Amino acid sequence: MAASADHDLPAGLRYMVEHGHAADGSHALNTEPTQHLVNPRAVNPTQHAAVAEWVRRRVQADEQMRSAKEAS
Amino acid sequence: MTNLSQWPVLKQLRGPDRLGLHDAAKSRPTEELEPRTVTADRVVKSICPYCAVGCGQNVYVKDEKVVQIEGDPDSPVSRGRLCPKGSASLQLTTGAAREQHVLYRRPHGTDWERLDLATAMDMVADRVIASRRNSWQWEVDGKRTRRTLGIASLGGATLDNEENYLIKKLFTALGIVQIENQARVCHSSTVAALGTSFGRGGSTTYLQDLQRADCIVIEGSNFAEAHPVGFQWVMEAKARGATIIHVDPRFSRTSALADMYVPIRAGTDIAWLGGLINYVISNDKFFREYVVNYTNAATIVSDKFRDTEDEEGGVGLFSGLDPEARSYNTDTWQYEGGEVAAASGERDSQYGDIASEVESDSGHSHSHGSGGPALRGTWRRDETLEDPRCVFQILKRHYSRYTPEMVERICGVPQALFHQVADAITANSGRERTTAFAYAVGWTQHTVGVQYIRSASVLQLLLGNIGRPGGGIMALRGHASIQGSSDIPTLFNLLPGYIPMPHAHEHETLDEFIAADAAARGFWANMRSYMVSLLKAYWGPAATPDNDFCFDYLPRISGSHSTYETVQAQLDGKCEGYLLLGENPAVGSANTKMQRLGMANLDWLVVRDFSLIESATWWKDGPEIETGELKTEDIATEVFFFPAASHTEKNGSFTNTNRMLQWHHAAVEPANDCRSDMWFMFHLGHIIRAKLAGSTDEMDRPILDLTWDYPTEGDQDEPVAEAILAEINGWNADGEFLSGYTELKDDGSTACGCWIYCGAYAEGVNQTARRKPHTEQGISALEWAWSWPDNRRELYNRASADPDGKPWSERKKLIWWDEDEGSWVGDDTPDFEKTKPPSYRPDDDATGVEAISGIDPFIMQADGKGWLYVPAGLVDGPMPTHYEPQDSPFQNALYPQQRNPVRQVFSRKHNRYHPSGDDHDAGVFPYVLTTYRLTEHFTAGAMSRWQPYLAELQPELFCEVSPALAAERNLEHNGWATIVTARGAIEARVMVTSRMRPLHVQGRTVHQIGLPFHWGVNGLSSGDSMNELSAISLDPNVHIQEVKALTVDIRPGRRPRGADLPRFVEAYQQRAGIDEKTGMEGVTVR
Repeated sequence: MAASADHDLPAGLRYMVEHGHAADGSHALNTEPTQHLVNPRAVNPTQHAAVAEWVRRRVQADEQMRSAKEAS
Repeated sequence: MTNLSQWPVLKQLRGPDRLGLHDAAKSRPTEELEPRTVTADRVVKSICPYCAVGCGQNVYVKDEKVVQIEGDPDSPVSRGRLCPKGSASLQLTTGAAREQHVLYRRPHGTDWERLDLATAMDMVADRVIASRRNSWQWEVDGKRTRRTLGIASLGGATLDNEENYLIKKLFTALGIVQIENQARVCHSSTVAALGTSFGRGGSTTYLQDLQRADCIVIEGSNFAEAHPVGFQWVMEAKARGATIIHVDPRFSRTSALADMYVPIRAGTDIAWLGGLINYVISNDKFFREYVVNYTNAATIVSDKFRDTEDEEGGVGLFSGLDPEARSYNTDTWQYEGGEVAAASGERDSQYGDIASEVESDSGHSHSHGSGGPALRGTWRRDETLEDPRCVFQILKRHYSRYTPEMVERICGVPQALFHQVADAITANSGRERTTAFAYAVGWTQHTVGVQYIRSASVLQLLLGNIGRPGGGIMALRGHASIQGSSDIPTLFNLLPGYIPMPHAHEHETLDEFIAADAAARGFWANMRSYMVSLLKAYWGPAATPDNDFCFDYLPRISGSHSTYETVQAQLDGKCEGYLLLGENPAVGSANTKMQRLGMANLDWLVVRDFSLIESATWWKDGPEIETGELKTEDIATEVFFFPAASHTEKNGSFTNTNRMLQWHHAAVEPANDCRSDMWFMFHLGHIIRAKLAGSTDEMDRPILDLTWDYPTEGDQDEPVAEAILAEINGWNADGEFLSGYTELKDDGSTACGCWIYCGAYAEGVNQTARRKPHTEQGISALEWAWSWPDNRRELYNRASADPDGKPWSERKKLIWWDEDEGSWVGDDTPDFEKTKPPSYRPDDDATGVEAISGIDPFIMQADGKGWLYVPAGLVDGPMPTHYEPQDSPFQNALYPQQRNPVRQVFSRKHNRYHPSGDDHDAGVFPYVLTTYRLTEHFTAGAMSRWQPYLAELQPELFCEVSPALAAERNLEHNGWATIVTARGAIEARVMVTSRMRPLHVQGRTVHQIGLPFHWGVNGLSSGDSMNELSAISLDPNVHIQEVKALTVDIRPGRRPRGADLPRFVEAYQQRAGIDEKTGMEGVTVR
């Protein structure tokens, strides 16, 4: 892989040379995620700290909701 | 010396790069450049805000500024690609064209003034309160309405689900019912058609599944150009050997990439599809085992039903038509032995004494977005399909005259080409193979738009292609969240999750509403749980069993309050306030003159957008100012312009065309006065509630009792979008997040803002933000974001297995019954009760979900079957029937009935229709015009005409004409043409191209003209608007306008200017003998 040692090659081209397919996953299955070659993995939060506490307050304020559960 | 050695020519001559293609071409500054993707501080995951493909985006931020936007290669939908619009979204979000400050136009003012944001918000709140009080209606004709018709809103399909939720919630609590968005004018037909056919109004399949098709029919869509990134899945299928067919009036890039191109006369697709249905039935090409078991083909219809064919020669009318009321009584369409309640809204309206015209106007067909019409009683089936009154035999007779010869006569499609397509779709359907259909607004925007899509539904059911990999019907939606703005509806006739808005009655309780509306069988039988949970989400502790969970707080509808009725209410002075939320009706809605004149009659107008769109500036530079029909100083409308935040400046979810909710994160805070619609609604609600605090007026209770306490974050007090999503998802009395709608209760112990989205925040995790790369999971990519319902990707996928639960074939395996596990398994979430075996058969008296048998894949339908014939739920017929468009150069060759007899037409001064067919002077408008979208522009242009890249790529309005038409009308390539209707005249550059082909129809040649619809007078790229030409004529089911098949005249040269323009149009009206009665006929059978 002499080409891969050539730092003048763009990252995408270097990836293609090394892996045999394009870095964006086109026309090939099971390629690795790609822009990660140059990017750090993006932060993608799937939880928000404020939500659970806010819901707890909503439930606390709703006596009917809680009593309906008790009755069921 | 050093500098000279860096001279590129010298480097090229002396170094190894003799061709100058590499190092020699680089200067030192070039070498020192680093990509913005490398130097960014962080990468924020996002979703493209343009069309509904929902491409993943990576947003690069440096020094708290967005510096680059790239495609996200992890996305299973887009795999890193972006189209020209998505690629230009950096300009959309950071470009200089964005307005940054609130602007104000005072009544009769001649220019904008600056206003600070807080003052403007306060002024808008005052106007909402005042207009509401001015126009409040406790009752109308003795029926309780508890509403205002003095205020209307329009827009939502470009916004997040969380924003739509707040709009609907706040405005409903204020008693506003005229809440509408682009879904009305784009895909409302889809909801009614797919909903009545299958039980849900969303696309039955998803984009990635197209790669598994053996044949794909694209019709009513220029897929390759309007949804370019989604089109990669069509190309994947083609690469695997699939046959691609494109049916369209205009040859486009989609046609170029297809194996077969079928030119067709615009407005005749039902005749074409009806021909294919006839071919499939009469040649015994249908998938019998699928049809018998999974559709209502065997069900016996009432002996009172009369088909369009049943009178001598076939007059084209179904039984039950009231010619005076111009509506059908659908009782005779029902099954024998069964009582089929009508569509949800209609079911409600049947309670009490609502007039029949109200039933047909109320948009109830739209309410089948997730729950088909209810069935009651028992009905009979003949699984030999021989009974003359079974659905199959009725269908066979109905389409028997839709022969290849008739198709050629109506559509202009040669018979040989018809047979090639018929052979392709039948050869590629069955146990081993599947065919998919894909369509867009080329089908939806007609006076028979719902029935267009119904035709494809019938065909796909007959071929056994629904619920199976590589099959289905792909509804290609064109706004980032137009699916979402239907699901969480900013629509007048729906509550979240397709629960119908209640109708006005003298008195109605929640139980009566439910009893009148809920189905006896299927998941729609649980409607009370969905409704009570919604009321708890809206009114929290105030909603108790003692007050019917605040059911009375909901304003009532009394007919159609669609955007087109709203415009007329504005013209009539009944609607005084209007909010435009990311929609531009002065360009994008039918009959733009009426849109502008309506706005000129308002007291106040709020426009929220990125730039000064035509709907914000018509009072100073609109076409009527140029013609002198309006004078700026005379216009009393007060106009507020609020700059909007972009998708990179707010958190929220879009629901794409796959029914998939995808979260986009805020990368930066919006600058200056730019704010999200979430912010606007939340703070407007707070101001209004503060102003009304302490009010003892009963009309204010709903807004004061509303739960409106969302947490906020950031310097601008932005509501936490995740909290709104959590409310949409729902929770129980322990504060636990619900994981699915089967957990909802009807006793008030659960709250849920949209039952079909229940599960999107399961376990306190934002499921819509999940981003497991597509390379790490199967085609269905179940761990990427979240689809409704219940994260199912292929709807009705129980039908991918045979009645015994085994795959129809190994090749088309998707979901199957695993006897050992006692459950359904496969590469998708089963769209079926996971442990209900194929052998399950309900007792005769079973109700609710228990009434769905083990061989009923369509679980939202009360009989569990796909509907070839719709016994109730639609207002213009149980089976699609060919009618000519409102304006057509031809007589209906199949029936004496020329047009849809129950279509909606409006005789107003600025909304005149054309003579058609054999009518005297129909030849004044001899050509057919069809409209379309370009890759480089977006709907009414607000998000593209201001972007330099996009404006440069498509700088000017043009029309496409054939060389033959060019010769006939002396039109020159690159020259100007004027296109005229009875509504208006516009000019466009001429593109003479063989892509437009003259067709041979009914013994003569018809020319068609293609015209994109994106332009208006503002922006970097400006031009006349197509909708100056269109009329308001509507499909009666959902009130969508007919803009895909018009008649026009075309002549060389530019249009007249100033006052000469209306005179020019009036002269055309006089030549064609047009008056207030022209084209208004209902029944035309003589």
